Amino acid sequence: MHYKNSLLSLLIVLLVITGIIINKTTKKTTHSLIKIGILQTASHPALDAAQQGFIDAVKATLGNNVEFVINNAQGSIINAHAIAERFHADTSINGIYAIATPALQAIMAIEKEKPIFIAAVSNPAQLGAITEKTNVCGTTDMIDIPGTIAAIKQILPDITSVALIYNPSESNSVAQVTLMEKELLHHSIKSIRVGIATETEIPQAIISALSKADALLAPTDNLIASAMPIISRLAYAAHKPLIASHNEAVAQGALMARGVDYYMSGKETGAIALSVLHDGKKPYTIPIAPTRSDTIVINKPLLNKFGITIAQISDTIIFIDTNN
Amino acid sequence: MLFEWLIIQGIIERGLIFSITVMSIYITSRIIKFDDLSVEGSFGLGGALAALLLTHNIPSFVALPLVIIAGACAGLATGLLHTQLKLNNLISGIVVTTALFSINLKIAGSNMVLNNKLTLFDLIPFASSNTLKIIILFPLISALLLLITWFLNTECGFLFTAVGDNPQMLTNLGKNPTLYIIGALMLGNALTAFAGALFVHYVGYFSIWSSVGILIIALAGLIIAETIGYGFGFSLVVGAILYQAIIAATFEFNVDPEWNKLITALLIILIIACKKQFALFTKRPS
Repeated sequence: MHYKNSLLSLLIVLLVITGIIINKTTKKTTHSLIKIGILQTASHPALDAAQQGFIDAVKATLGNNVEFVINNAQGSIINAHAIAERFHADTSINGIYAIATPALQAIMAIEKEKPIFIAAVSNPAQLGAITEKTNVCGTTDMIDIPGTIAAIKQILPDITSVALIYNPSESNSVAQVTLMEKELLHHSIKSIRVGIATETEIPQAIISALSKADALLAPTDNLIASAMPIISRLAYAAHKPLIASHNEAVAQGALMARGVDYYMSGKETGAIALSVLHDGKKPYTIPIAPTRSDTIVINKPLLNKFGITIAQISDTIIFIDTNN
Repeated sequence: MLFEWLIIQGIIERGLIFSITVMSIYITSRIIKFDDLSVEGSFGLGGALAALLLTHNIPSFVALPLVIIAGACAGLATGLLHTQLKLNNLISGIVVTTALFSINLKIAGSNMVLNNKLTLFDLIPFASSNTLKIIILFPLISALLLLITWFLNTECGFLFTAVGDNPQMLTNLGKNPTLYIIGALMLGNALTAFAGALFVHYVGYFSIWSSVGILIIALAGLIIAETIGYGFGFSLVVGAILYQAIIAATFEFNVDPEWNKLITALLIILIIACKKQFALFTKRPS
């Protein structure tokens, strides 16, 4: 009995090893020059866009000479570590693209040599990623909060109170919400914090927030981003504007966003990756730059529904037509 | 060859850490037959506390006992809710996990970076490099396993087993079953909190999300362990390692990432189905 059981476990271990070897040998046939491992924290439109932007930018230059190994941790830190280990161990991988903070932390803990390119990370310095000889480079998704609040004030001048919807367990959201509160106060708008910890709590929390405030404002929060469709539907039903911090949200029913365009963010990181992998620059010579965020994206049908006319604004405005 | 070894090494390291949670689940769900859902909370609690203490330069030999005590307190809370307020065992676990989420956030925030503080793995100088974490983990887990095995064979340990099988027997012996239920829960949660602390030392940061899915890791590890051997023993460690191997293998198949979870599920089914097959063969001659 025991003999057979140990045989079984041996069999499984062998299976894993053969899987690894088969995987390795089959990949040798495609002699691409550069191989990039992509470690994405979870699936939602903003992060997917960051992935697509990166791939598009790198492919535009390298064409078929680049190969991507795409893996998604599906929100699990432990999975992120398993993927990071795999990328670290695979010597044929030249660089790693980490999308969002958990992915960066997982890969950073293991990989000290290969370049790590980042996007959708708000504060890499706080994570200890910026050292003298760091192998981390890329873009952050820190938004221009004073600019956002000023734009809200211009487009929706009648607003007196705003509910800040965010997940208190995402450090980037907490940091942004604190800044937003300060800036709203500056414009003498009342702010109410609505912390939401899990996706199932969203409907109740949003309904309560909508009853207390004139508008909803969300930072670049992963939980809020994944629940954007339901949040926008509730806001629409309550006839109140929803302002997001990632531009992809507008297509999902937010009224406006003056935040990060994650596709562009991914593209910029892709350009940085090229300068490292293709032109031989060292990651620590490239400063980590915030993504440009001075464009306001507005949902045209919603704007008409609220009967808002937009006065002169210094920012560039993009209108999106959705059939909400 | 280095490539394969590095991946296998990572699997073993994580498996060793999670084997502690598997032991914890074994003690609660198999010995006292109490399905304890508070492990997700206490894993995070251990991690949060370890991160906080480490960043305040508290040495590990003080910090880790504190973590274990904190975990035991979580178990005490679950036990008291169940035995005193007569809450259903699942509910008491859920309540404690829910409450601990906020407490963990208060302790360490959503994300706490250790910033190159000396972790447990830096204690032995040559073990700090990536290659030699097993040198610390393996003896540690083995010692823990032996210690608990020894404990379960003491008189007190036998009474733990009795609580699960036949609580009436304890009453007949003049012992209070409540005490043993709470004791086992404290032991289980203390172990899980210790695993959470080890994980933080291992990865170098605390994240509130790291405890998500721990229950599944522990349960899957336990189920796999039970296809290998019976009782409390080294099979629990092998089960935890095999589950990590399954996760790693999922990524090795290199398919569309959206299929990952399905592949993990299929691999688990494969292992358990294999076991059923083996069981048939072994039963037939007798």
